[in-house]
Amino acid sequence: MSILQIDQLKKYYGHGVSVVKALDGITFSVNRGEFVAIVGTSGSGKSTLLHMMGGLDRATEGKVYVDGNDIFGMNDEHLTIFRRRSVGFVFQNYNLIPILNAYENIVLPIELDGTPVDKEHVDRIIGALGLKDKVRNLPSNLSGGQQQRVAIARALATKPSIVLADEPTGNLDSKTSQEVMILLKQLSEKFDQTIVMITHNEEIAQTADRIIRIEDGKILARPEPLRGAGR
Amino acid sequence: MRTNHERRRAFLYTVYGGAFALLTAVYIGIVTYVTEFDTATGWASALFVLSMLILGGALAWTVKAETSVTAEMLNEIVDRAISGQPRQTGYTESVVSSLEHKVTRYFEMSSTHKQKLDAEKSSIKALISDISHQTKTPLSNIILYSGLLEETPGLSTEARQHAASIRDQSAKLGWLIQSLVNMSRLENGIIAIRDDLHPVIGTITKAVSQVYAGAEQKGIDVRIHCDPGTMARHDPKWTAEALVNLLENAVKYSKPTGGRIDITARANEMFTRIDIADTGIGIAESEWNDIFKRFYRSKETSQYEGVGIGLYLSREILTAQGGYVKVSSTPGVGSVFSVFLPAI
Repeated sequence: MSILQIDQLKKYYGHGVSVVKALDGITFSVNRGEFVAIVGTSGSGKSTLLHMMGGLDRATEGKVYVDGNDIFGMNDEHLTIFRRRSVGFVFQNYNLIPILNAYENIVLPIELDGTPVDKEHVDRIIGALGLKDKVRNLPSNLSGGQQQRVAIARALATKPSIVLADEPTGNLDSKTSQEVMILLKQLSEKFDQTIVMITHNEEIAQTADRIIRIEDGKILARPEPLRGAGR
Repeated sequence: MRTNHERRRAFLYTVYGGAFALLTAVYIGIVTYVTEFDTATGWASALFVLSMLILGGALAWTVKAETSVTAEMLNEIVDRAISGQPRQTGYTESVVSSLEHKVTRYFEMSSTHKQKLDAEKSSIKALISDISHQTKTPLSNIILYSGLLEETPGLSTEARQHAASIRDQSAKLGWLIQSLVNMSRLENGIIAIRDDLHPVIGTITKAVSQVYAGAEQKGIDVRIHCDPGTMARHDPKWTAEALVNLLENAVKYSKPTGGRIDITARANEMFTRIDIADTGIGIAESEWNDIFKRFYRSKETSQYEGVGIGLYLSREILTAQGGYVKVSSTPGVGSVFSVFLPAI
């Protein structure tokens, strides 16, 4: 069952002869609970694609459906609320609020939405990410890997339809990157969480269920089949 | 939906507000006209309109408060249904009561469904342990009798060879049944894996001791690089089994002479990583994902024995403990299998 559907997505910058085709007719879909890596070199259009999926930018042409909602059909106010409830973001530079401790950072999006915090769910995520004894720490007292784990917990806390990760290991050393990838894989299985991650690192992408390669705004070849029979 | 609802509400407010203002103006106009512009009457009607306005406001406020009470009630109904507490509205003709009935029914149905699944699971569990138990005795008898047959005096060489083959194949069958039983136990979450913090050196040594004879026979140099203090949260028995599968492959796919297996354990922030590096035939990158699939066998390995469940089992065992296993390899040079076990 697909939770994310991208249909003939195009994003052009500029006009006439100087037109830049950042995305040139991208079509694919992601199933519920799947962990997909989008791999491409810088300038391949992968960041633009991720921004479209999260409703951070609007396309020139084509549609993006998240959980059956046409996200470009929403006005700005509804898109903001949609993003807060249905999309979890993980960025390369963590984007934690420096004056809030780890726990406050994690529950911030839930509190912004004005809904009560599902403590049990949040505690399970914190446990799965090994952050139990770090929740009272300020981001400045955490290592890069720990900060990224807090950011991942924050992205999952609202039980979003989809988690979008933009080079989540870009600022981490290779050992820690590997660990963060394994954690993402485990979370995706444990919480049936759909995760779409972009990266330029093929090695990192190996952990994902499926790899989509893009180049010059187009999907290269056929996506690889699902890994792990019967899972 | 939401936008339509909001738009309709804004429209209704405008209509009601407009009508009210219009009526008030007309009423005051008529009253003052009829009383020939008497100031006292004008004030009196203004006062009357004002009190009406206050009353109306109070009514609107009460209705709003009532609505939020109903909303809270609905919220509580769902919460109670989720946690399986008795219903609170009883059986009345109200819409809320009928809604509660439906919600409760829905949760009852899904919990019945779950119970059914649990029952099915436990019957699978019984079946698996039956298979494993019932096949054990006949199989060990076959092995025993073929051994006896082999030792019978006056047997032709050919017959002796056949008896030996029967014994070998039966032993293989026994191993296969055991692996399949383990596999389905792991898949159904039947096995209780006890993962406590243990030093990994013990587990590694245990696994190596099981493949050491085979490695020595092939002249493979096995080395362990592990700090005795390196800990990981794992079940030593099962993890050793997973490591044995990886080590057996390392031995099996090593070249006949001058092979080497390096086992390196290192603790990091979240995971303890155990690398098993061999100097074997290697694996093409396109197959890195496939080799962990059940019954997958690479074309390159057709001349080697095996059925393709070792790596699958290893991954299942490690995943069940919150760990992971991955591979990187250069064909012709060797492979590195990296096992990750939770460090905290």
